[in-house]
Amino acid sequence: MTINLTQFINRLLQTIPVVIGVTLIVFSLMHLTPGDPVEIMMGQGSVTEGEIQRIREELGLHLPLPVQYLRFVTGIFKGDLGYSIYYRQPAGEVIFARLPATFELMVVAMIISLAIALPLGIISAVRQYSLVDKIGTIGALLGVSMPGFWLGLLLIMAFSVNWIFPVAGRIDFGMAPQRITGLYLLDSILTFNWPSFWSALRHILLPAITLGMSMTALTMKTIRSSMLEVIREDYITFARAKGLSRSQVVLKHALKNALIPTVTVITLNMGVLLGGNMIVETVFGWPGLGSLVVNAIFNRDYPLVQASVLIYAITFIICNLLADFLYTVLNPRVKF
Amino acid sequence: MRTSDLPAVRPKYFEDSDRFHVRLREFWHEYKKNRMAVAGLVIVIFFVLIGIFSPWLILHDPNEQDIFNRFQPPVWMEGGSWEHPLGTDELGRDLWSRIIYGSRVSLALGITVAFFATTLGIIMGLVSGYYGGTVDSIIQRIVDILLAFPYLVFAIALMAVLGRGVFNLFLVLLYKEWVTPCRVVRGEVLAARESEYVEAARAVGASDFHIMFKEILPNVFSSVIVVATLRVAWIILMEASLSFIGVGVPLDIPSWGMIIADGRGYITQYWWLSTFPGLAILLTVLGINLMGQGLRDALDPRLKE
Repeated sequence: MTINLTQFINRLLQTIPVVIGVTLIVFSLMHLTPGDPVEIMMGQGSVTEGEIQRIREELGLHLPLPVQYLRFVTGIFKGDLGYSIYYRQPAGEVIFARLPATFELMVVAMIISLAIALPLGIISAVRQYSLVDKIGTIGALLGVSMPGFWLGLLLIMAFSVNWIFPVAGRIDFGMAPQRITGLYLLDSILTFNWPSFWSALRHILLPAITLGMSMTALTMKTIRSSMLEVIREDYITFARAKGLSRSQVVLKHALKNALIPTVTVITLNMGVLLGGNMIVETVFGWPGLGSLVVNAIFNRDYPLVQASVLIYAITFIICNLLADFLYTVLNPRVKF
Repeated sequence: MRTSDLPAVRPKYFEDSDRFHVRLREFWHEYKKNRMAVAGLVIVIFFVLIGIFSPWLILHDPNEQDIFNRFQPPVWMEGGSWEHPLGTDELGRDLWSRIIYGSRVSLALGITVAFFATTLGIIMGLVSGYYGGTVDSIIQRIVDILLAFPYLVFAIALMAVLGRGVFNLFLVLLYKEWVTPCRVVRGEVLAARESEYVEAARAVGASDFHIMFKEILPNVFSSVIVVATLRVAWIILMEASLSFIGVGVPLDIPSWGMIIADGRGYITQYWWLSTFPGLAILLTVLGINLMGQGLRDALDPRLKE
């Protein structure tokens, strides 16, 4: 497996204008507000003119725009993402405290989504037009036609009666495991704290299912169609002719190649997952980055909104790079 | 020699427009083979009619409050009445009327944004693909930058600074929606640019404008229609999400996403408040998706799964 280094560097260089554009757009977000952002943030009439002036200077809003932009960008490189007005803390700190919760939710959502999509996608391709295939197709269609937040509410309605699955928060009060990674599920396993693990698992399941659904349908469709393409290839017929069993051929020969487009689709759909995460965290009161942004919007904490949007965009750009990278690794014939 | 001095080459699109009704009949013949697609079309027509005739279908003003009749259940449950077929919400507003009226915002935004975004996307895609070079690079970098934001994150942040409002929603959705049609059209143009019919048009001295809009566009139009239709579904979901979060339509305009958000706090006792508007979204989006798939199969058999 060889990777053409120059090509990869080229691809990296291509993202530079994109990152610049992203910082420009994020920077201009605050300046798009109709009216004075500081007055809107502070709420009219509640603070004196002098205080507004002081905050404006604190945020550097009195400087000319190009200077402000340069300060914003150099700040990013120094790890300074601005200052949250609501939390009275550096925005970076507020965000990074919330990241483990969001990361944990997304990983579990991804696992659930793959656990459903992989077997269903393979079976629907191998047994095309079978009952499983039809159920899968209808399910996928419903999945893409349903707003994620509504599914979350339906799940709450269905499971909140017996309280097996709590409908808000990450873990029962006072049950948080000793902090190692900040991921409750992982930490409780590492410290053999099973009651905490059970509590965290019960909390994460409904939001993770809700979030995972947005991706399941797409992933399943991709696996199905690439699998259908692959199993018609000559080498599959050949493998069957060699006398290998059907399941051996499907799982060893076909799946490997069918997974190439799937990996790309999954990585590209991180955007759906990242966006959906805001809604799901709001519905389930999950204390992650998504609910933080939504709250920051209602608190009119624009610096925090800016910083979070930037983190989202950078994450997404890295995901896209990763998608291209994985694609070439898995399929050496493809060039950037 | 001017273009007009050339012997009359009967361009392809004349022939096409002559045969328009024939082609339409052929298309319908293909389309109606797919029963699901026909079902989708019926659902979509149904909701469009509801949207158009909503002033005659509602039973109350959708914003009219009736504090003495809060949380009335739907008609088939104990305590329900025909006065409020789907029950009432926490302010005693009639859920039926609100959902009926809510179809207007969803469909109107979905269709207008898709229309303008597709038009813009077609122009950008044609120019980008046809001219290539610097123009193409610039447009594609803009596309890359817009695609670098997770869709909803960006829309929510933008709505937060612009404030609630139907026109702001239109702008925010349009801001990114043109990207998909642009990419599709550009891809098709790149392929068409080298084709014989474009070369022929160029040989008889047709202008760039003529080649782009009269030669290439009709040939890529079927893929554009399919993309535009599927985008309507996506836009409706986005509008619902934004309104659900609370950065979408203004409070006095009922929208499905907002009605769900209103009922959210009461779902364990009064399940109907969030369930019915969600069903309306599900059905509409499902109908559009089915229609889009049907269109794709009928117009562009290459893409058939």
